[in-house]
Amino acid sequence: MKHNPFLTNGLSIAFGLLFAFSLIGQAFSGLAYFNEQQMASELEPVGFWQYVTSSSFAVDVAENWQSEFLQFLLFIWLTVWLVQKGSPESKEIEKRGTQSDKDQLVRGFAQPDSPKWAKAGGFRTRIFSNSLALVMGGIFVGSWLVQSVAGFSAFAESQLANLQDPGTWGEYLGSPEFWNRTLQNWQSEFLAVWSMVILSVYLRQRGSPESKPVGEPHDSTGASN
Amino acid sequence: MDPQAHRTRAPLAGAGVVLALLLAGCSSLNPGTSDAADTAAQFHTALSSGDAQAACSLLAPGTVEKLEDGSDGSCAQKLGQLQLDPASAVQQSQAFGSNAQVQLDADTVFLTLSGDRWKITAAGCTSRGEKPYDCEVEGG
Repeated sequence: MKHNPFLTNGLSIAFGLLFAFSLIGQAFSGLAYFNEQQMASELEPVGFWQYVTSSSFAVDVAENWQSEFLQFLLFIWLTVWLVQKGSPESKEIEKRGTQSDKDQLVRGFAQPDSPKWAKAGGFRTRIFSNSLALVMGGIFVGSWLVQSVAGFSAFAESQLANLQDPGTWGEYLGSPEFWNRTLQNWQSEFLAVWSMVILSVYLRQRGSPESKPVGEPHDSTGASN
Repeated sequence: MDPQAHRTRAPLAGAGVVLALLLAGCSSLNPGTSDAADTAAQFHTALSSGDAQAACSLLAPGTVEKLEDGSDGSCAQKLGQLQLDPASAVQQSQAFGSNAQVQLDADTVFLTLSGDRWKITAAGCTSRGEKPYDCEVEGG
């Protein structure tokens, strides 16, 4: 039976819209806040497009992105080898590691409808086998680089407004400002994952695939709705 | 639609967004360092030739206001009395977003963007290391 594509893609559509509305909201609220600071410093307010192409907006976006993608990268990668007894986010202890080709349906064990690169063998199967972590890692590194460049530019701008030397990008990479922006995002992401791993052992959400079935025992690992 | 093609476009879109953000970050690095240097040089040329009125026209409104604050006298009169060290050769110019710094042979000048023109917020500045520069002319 063919379902309506809005139904079969509801999760990605909902999060796509939430992302878009949040980013637009951040742009407008960020502009208002930036202009409040400009007025306080007796500097001219900036327009919407000038703000959304500014280093201030870029660093505020990028510092959150890098931490989110780092969170997913680590979660995807560490759960290959590390397990948590009772968590639906974890595999059973016997399944630790990258598992056999038979378990993963690759190369000679691929199904007729398996992705082409799962059947291909060689470097293509190796790349496809790690593609999720590679893309998450790539976006993490890219976002962190953007954070460092845009963050330096925004920091240098405020230094100049305060009649101080702007410094260099290299100096900024070792600065408290860069690491404070980075670590305040990392700690919250790691707390969220840690809570999810542990709380999902003992708590349930009926109907959610992120939870075990309500009646599943606490020590049952890897089960989900 | 070929599902494989769809799959390879998602990472490309992600990389595109990161690249766009990187360009946005970089685009703010140097919006016109040579214009900032020209303004700083014009300021000192005007002062050297005794045209304090022209030098005042290159100052940001907040800086003119601060200069005229307190005792009587126009911006030009007070700027002329300050006897800033003459400077002519631009050694380095840096601009980030709407602020710039121009280092001349005998002065460091700070500027801000006013519309599409640079205006001077501080001049006659001496470095104090990590602390803000000590400036003879500066805004509020």
